[in-house]
Amino acid sequence: MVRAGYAALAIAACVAAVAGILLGVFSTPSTLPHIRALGRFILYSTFNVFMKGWWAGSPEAVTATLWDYRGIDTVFETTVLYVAVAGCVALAYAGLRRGEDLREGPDEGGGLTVVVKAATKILFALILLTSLNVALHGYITPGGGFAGGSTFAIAPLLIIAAYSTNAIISRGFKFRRSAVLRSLGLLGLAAVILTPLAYYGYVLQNQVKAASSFPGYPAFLGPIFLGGSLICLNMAEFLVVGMEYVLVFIAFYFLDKVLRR
Amino acid sequence: MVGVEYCLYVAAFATLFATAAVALYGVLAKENVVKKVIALTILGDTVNTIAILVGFRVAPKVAPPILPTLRPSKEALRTFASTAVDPIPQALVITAIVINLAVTAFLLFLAVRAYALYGTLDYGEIMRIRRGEGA
Repeated sequence: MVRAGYAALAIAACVAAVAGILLGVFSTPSTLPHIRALGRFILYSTFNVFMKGWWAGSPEAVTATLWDYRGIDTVFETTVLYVAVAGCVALAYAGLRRGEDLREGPDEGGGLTVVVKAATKILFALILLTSLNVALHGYITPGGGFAGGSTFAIAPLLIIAAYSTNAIISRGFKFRRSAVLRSLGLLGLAAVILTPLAYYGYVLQNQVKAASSFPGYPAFLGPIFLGGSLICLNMAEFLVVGMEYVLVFIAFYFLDKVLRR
Repeated sequence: MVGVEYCLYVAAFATLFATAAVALYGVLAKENVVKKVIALTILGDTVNTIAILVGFRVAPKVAPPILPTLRPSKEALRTFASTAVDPIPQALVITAIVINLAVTAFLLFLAVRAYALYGTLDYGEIMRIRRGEGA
């Protein structure tokens, strides 16, 4: 085991050395004020109202990159998230015999003091509002489905800390209900992504493109700015990410129960 | 003549790579599985920060990659493209953070299962038990 430690140290030192060399090669003072050409193209065209063949209909370049310019990448990231959570759930339920049922019991009480519980209730509502805001306005301000979903995941964690895991289950975050909501989010993503195909457009097409007969999702609805498909994709992703995290928390509760039998 | 910004930029890079090296050492050399996972999360966050830093502009005028108006002029668009930071690393990192968390959860589930099976979180101990040498 001592030898393994020295080998690891050697590898770590190599990483640091390579990093130093790369640093010397790639970042000279003359290149630092500039970014790469692809990034400059995205910044220039993301809300270029004079050149609508390339625009994404969103002034937020990060969300435009996420769901328009590099949309396929994000679809596969969602797949990775789905598979990781499915693995967690499978590990939690492994060893459960057929027909055996681990019903969610009633709230047993306990937890922290009444002050903490009252504060948690207020914070829960605030976090819910904030996460919805982050996801809903992800196409004009910093944020989006991923950021909103991770913000939402804090809320059940707070309840677990102040009450118990049982508390989030008895308050409506049932396993099956969360899974159904997650699947609804995935279906919403699929619907928005695949609809342009029906009009002979591209998968994940957002705005009008030269070689496609799909007219593009509406960027404006009268005076209201919508940002094309980005708002729908952000909300669906918010549902997916938030519910995947709730599933992980509930699965951990079941893992505990299965192992304690 | 190099400016203060350049020196700070290089120092940030060097610190991040040193952190990554330490985290990698932790992943490889620590015996406790939970400590390995902790080192892995540090490594992931460090790599994310490096990605963000690669897309940064070390310039007198830097803007976030969000256009502040819904009725831009051509001049405003050109200024935006020449002052905002690179949006691509940020888009990659926001997904990477979420997936990091899910993968970490998966690894911790595995660790809990391993502890229930072998009664220890020590990697070498688990391998000895698996080889049938007993503890």
